[in-house]
Amino acid sequence: MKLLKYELKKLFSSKGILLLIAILLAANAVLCFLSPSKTADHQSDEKYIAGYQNDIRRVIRLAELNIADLSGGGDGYIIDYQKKVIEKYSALINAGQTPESVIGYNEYILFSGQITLLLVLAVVIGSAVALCEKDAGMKPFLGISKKGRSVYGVKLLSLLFLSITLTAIDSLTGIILCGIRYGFSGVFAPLVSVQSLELCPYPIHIIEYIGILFVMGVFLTFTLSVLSALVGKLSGSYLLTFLCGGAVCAGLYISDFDINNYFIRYRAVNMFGMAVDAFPVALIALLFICAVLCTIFCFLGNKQTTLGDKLHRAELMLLCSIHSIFKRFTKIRKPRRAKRHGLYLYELKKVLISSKLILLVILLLGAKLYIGIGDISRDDLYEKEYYRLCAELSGELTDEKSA
Amino acid sequence: MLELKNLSKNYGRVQALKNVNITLSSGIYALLGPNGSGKSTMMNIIAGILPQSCGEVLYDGINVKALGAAYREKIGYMPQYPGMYPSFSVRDFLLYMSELKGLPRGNEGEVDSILRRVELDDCADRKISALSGGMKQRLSLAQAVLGSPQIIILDEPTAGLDPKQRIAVRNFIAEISADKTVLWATHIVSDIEGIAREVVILKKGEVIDIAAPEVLIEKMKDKVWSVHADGRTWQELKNKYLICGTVPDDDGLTLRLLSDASPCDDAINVVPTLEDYYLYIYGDIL
Repeated sequence: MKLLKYELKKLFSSKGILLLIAILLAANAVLCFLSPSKTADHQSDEKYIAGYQNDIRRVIRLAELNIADLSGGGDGYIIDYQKKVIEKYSALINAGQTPESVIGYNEYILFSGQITLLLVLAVVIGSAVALCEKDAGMKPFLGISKKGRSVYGVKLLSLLFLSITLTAIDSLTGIILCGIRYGFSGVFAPLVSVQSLELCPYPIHIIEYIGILFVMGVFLTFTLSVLSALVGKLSGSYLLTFLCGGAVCAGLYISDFDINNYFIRYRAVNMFGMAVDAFPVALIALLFICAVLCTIFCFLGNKQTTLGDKLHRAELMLLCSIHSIFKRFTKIRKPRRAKRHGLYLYELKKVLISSKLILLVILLLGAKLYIGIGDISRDDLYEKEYYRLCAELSGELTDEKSA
Repeated sequence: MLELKNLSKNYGRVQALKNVNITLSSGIYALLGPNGSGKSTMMNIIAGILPQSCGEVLYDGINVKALGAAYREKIGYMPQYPGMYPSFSVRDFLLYMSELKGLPRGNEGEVDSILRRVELDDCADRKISALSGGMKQRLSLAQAVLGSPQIIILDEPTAGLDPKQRIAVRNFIAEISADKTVLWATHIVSDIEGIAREVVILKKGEVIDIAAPEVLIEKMKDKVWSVHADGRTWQELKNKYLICGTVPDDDGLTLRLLSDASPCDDAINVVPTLEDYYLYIYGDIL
């Protein structure tokens, strides 16, 4: 426990990391506060509650029809999937859960499902935890001390602790901001009361779902931080660690990863022709990946990996080459000479570059881009909703209507 | 007892250590050699930081790899370039090292006592980032001796210290070395002259000699000369012999030089020192 305290101290002694954590959490809070209300996208609560049972029955009916269509011989997985849909949603009706009128949760839940910024923090923390010994030149001490080799286990503990803390701060920020902006109704209402989760196949309550979101957030943050720490350990390079972690974050963002996707409707994965619930499979896969990463991280702890040394040397050589090319290029283009600028340029340099305020500006621009992309994807949802309404209210969607 | 058997280390095609065979019991062993002679490589292998290319390190007859943590707890190591967490305070750093070394809880008294010994008690709560180079060096020494390890490996412990601190550190190491094996790498010969039990002479990765300082000095008997020279003879002597001291006087220079035979008629045979031996051995590569 004492080593854990020291690990946290090492990490939080860096003002840069503290600032970055604060900025990213603040950016997340701002995004949460600025995100548009989702209530307007949906039908009124009364209408929704009245139509809920029919909607579920319609899903069951559609599944039955699909089975009837495929009974002549179809893919075993698809038939199994439809059977699971009938089983899940029948159980849901039998559980007697009926939606209630709720306030605020739709916004909170939809925002909490997207944890890209939290994952960026995981990359930063993972790399810092893995590379702090190398930065300080303390690596040899870990190799020769009696308990030095167990430090990597403690590092994992500190990553878990930080993942829990950061996810908790993120969740609390979301709850507080959504609470201020929209207010919250009772937390023990069934999850299906949240309109965006109307077709959730699990008979759980909102509070349980908030817990699930939190646990998944912790696991994802922890897994990515361990992955970053492992890449940092192997490569000994911040550059490679950030590239690797950044690629994972970008991949998740581009693929529109959202924890809520597992609960919006029934999802299954094909396992040897059988339909198995997607959420438990994803959870087990995540736990497995996490366990493997943790084991490798501890196993490699303190080993002077040849691969890591080579990669680190390659990185240094690359940076040196880039630097020398840049230097040569700038020498040719612009001979180095002291050039006097106007006072305003010096002021800008002081404010933006010397004080690293430029980082904040970049982050804010990033946030702006994030909101912008969010708006575009929301437009797509509007389009989809429009076409759905066209189809429901005026018959099938024809080419003429689409045009 | 620490034993190095047929120890070699290669960095690619460069052989940093060549078939080293030495046995170290208690006392101070000085590892003498110029930069690149393999001192740090040898110490890193003994400490378990670097793997050897071949050969083995034995502690009381058992391979240290087999001993694992039991061997590691016997080691105190002070690297040449001490790295420490800059945000830790001096006391915090030593407490952290106590934890890493697996020392029993409640050793704050030992920490304070060591801080006093290395004259850092006044800045125990100061952050490491605010320490001078010499202070960091002493703190690094303090962590190496923390917990009274049986084998203390010191890589240039007096580098960057002022003369008073150097003497203090030298005395401190001499005091704690009574029942321990202290391996002290240096190229400051005067540091180990009076206190080393034996001096291990390394040259281009090979141990070329291992003996007590007195024995090594004895080997220089009749090889160190003092010669008075003017400008012209100085140039001649400089080209012919290894000069290890030049003192200007009223009518020219008094040279201290190394030669197997008397360099000139008026040369006076003088008492040799370990530094003379060092220059005699390494004169060709300095």
